[in-house]
Amino acid sequence: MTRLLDVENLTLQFDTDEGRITAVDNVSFSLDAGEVMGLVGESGSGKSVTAKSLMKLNASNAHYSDDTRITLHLDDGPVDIMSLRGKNMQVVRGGAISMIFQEPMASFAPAISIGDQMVEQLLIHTGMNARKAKEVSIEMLARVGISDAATRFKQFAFELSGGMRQRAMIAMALSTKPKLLIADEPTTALDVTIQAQVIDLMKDLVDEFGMGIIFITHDLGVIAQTADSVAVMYLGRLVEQGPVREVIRNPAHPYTQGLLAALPSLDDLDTSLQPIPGDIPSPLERPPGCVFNTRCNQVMRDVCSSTIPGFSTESGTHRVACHLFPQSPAKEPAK
Amino acid sequence: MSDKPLMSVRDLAVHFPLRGGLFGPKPVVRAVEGVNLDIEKGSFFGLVGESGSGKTTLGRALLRAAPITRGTIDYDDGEVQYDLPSLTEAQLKDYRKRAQLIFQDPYAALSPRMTVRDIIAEPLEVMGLTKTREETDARVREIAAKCRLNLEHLRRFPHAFSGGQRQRISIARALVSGPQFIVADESVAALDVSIQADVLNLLKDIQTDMGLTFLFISHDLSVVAHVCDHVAVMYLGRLVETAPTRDLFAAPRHPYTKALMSAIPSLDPDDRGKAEKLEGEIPSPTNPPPGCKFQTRCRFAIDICRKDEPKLEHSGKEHDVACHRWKELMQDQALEQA
Repeated sequence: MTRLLDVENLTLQFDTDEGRITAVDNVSFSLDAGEVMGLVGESGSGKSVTAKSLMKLNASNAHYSDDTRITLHLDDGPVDIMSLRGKNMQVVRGGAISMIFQEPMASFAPAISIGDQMVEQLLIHTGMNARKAKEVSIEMLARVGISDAATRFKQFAFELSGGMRQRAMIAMALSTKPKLLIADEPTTALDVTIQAQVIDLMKDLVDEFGMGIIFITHDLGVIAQTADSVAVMYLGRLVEQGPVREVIRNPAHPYTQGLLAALPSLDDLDTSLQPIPGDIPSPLERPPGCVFNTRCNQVMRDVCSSTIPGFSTESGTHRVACHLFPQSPAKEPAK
Repeated sequence: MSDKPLMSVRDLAVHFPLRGGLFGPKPVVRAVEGVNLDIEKGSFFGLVGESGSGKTTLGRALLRAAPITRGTIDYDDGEVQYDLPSLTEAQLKDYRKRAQLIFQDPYAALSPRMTVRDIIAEPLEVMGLTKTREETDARVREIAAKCRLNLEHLRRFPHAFSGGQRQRISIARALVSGPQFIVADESVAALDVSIQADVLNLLKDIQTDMGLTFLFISHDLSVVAHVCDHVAVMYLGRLVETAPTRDLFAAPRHPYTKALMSAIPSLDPDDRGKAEKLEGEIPSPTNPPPGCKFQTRCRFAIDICRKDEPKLEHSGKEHDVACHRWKELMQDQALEQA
């Protein structure tokens, strides 16, 4: 596998009326070409903000730390995304990186036809002429399972059903042949039967186009069905990371364990649901030490509320940031 | 449980007229059509379906918040008996105290300019249920405690609360008038999983403590499986299957119910691609297909499915299904498994 993306020490703060809040805190991960990485977390965990950082799409009150480094490895050499400015951003925005959003109705311009929007981005990002761009767009619409693509091409977003719109969104995102696709809760607004169709479609497209995907969702079931690896975020920090089977079958972090136990499962109707106690703290009041210590059922009095846990190496690629596990030497207190 | 159901619905229809139709009859959306349903007193009744299935409209009709085109709804909580479609003004006022709604989005359901105390107290004041401020406060505190809100919370405004806490405030507000029947419409859909379980447990506790009857509307079958004791599945305005929860999940009869269950993403990464996939999308309710409404997406559809609409029929103890071929399909399945 060739490396596609390296994110190192991503730290992002926002200036707000109530003060500077930390949205993402020292997050590092990598992605290979053809790999699907699931990014899981609840509201406020910083998963969407992390994804947007890859294209520097965050609002102007965002501050990245000096040691934040995001590198995209393209065929003609690595691109340092943090150093891109102005027009140069177009190399990645809509070019090498595409994004699918949760609410496709809000992502399409309502007064421009689907086709015109698809053609526009092809004209910007590729050398195609208008005729070729139209041809490619219609082909792409057909490829994602939209029947009568030539007619749909001329229609507006409101004329399509929810599932259809999300397919069109995917077609649009993939028509520029991006190296990296960021899908932010792409199936959350869809009904289960339609969600299953869209998941299938995305899996087929990964096989066909071989791009890397970052799949953001709060639904661990969707992750289990689509991803190769998982990264779990909580309150801006990465708490666990590893191959999908390992993380879902042997979750190491108490938060991941809690998330899985809180999920209603059809296989076991007798056990009552186990919520994670308490609420997610406000980003203005991030707990010191491990960010999860206020809700953790295995919290250790002294260490968890004072020391930020470093990453351990559980089994090869399975990493967890928790004081219950021996940690990497850099962070381990001297014995 | 008492012998008479709390709600007894017969041949209920809710139609919404559409604009247009310059010539000929005006087109209508048949949001709910020919629904028969009994909701036992003290049950946690689940109503499942995808968007456009009419589940919300049915819930609202039972609250007298949607226009009832046809059919009867008998309400009997032991104190009063109402024929819901033909309530008098005074009866409707009384019914509002007895039947309440919990909304989906706890961010939109609470006024940002009112304190939590005022939000919870408002129904009492509007309905004139308490005489003095002291009485109101006592009642608010009692309900707030049941919903795990403390006194300090009551003085604050909604913006200071997380999604889970806000949903607990909405629940308190729905409970304060002392209702018998509560419709919870997608009440946990907007919450994070770690919080969702907490709110579900709270609803369940309240129902047991206070002996309430819940109509729990949801698109999420696994949530419904965990909290409800009886489930009805809707598709395009019709009930397609209804059964006690365990029966339904152990032996679903209707192909749509099976497809819905199979579409839930499994937590087992090795289950990939095993799910039975449903093609196509739910048809528009303005132009429903003839015969069985599910025939356009059903892989078992035959000629009769395209002509005659199946009626809900008994297929076991309390297990009803509306499918022409359920017997055959069950036999086939049994053969396959043998």
